[in-house]
Amino acid sequence: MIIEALHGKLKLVPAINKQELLFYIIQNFPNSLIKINTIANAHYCGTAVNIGNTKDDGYMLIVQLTNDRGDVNGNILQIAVNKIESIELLDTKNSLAILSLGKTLSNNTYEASGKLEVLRIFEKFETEILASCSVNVGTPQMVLPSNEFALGRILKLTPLVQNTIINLLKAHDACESWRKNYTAIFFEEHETLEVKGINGAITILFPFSVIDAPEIDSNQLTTMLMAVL
Amino acid sequence: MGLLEKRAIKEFQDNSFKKLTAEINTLAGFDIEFDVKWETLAVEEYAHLYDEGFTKVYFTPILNAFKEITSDDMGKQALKDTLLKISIKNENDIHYGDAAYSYENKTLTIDHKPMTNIDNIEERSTALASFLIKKM
Repeated sequence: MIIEALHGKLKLVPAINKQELLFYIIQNFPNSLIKINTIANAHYCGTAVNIGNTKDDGYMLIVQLTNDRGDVNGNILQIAVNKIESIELLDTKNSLAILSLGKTLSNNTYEASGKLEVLRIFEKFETEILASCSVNVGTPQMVLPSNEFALGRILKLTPLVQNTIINLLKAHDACESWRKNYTAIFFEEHETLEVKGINGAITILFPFSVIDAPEIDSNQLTTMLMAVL
Repeated sequence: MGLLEKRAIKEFQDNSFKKLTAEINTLAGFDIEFDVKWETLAVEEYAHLYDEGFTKVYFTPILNAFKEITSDDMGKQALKDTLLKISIKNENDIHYGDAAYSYENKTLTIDHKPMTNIDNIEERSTALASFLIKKM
């Protein structure tokens, strides 16, 4: 089922050249394991570290080599991109996000869910944060979608947001600021992640219902929440 | 359906069925319509087990699932919004809870053999609660 879903989504990824792919991996998924297969039929596993254009040899790639299990072995490969025959993505959980250059595709699969489950996890969101941090952030309020898989995605994303907030509120000043300024929290559908703090309410905007969109980035959310505290 | 089966069905309808449906309706907080295809449940040579089989296969899992669903006000309201009728039958040779439940037009249909895996109450209760919650 997951393989079938992946196969279907792979049909949608754009065609990109090796430089574009390597640039994207280095910038956005620097820890993703790749396997370089060269024209000379040599094979190297590792993480792409840098890519640059040279006058004589064209694009050059630097790879931190690892063994088959992904442990760094200390060796570095420098290779001309035009000597690379193919690039294998070994980190399957990010493969779609990489191949789509982070547009709207991810490898996510969600179970069908109902509104009741989501409403219950919203209540749990409030009680868990209150129990952990003694801050009543409120029950998330959101216009719920009717699609059962979109509801499944919200069901999965809510604890991620909850844990991000719990980690953030471990800091005393963050706790104080939240208590002082906010009494409600909203989840709102939006193309990208944004956080607004207006009229006593925090609003987290995100493609909560878009099942092909990447999942919420905890670090990015933390940074945005800190900006409104 | 022979006389023995007819008597056992009547016995169940007059006693356990009334009690169980009343209990289910109390838990739900509203009256649910029951549509039981008795002729499909009346398996020959098992009349002596009808009361136990029907109760454990069909009704106890409903009670257990409803207890879980109605454990809070949201669940009570969701059940009210979702369910009008429960249809019970034995038509497709189904032995397990995973395949026994379907839902359409606010009707929950339970299609399960009445005398098979009688004691798998927990399995059916969990499957039914999970199935219904996903429809709410």
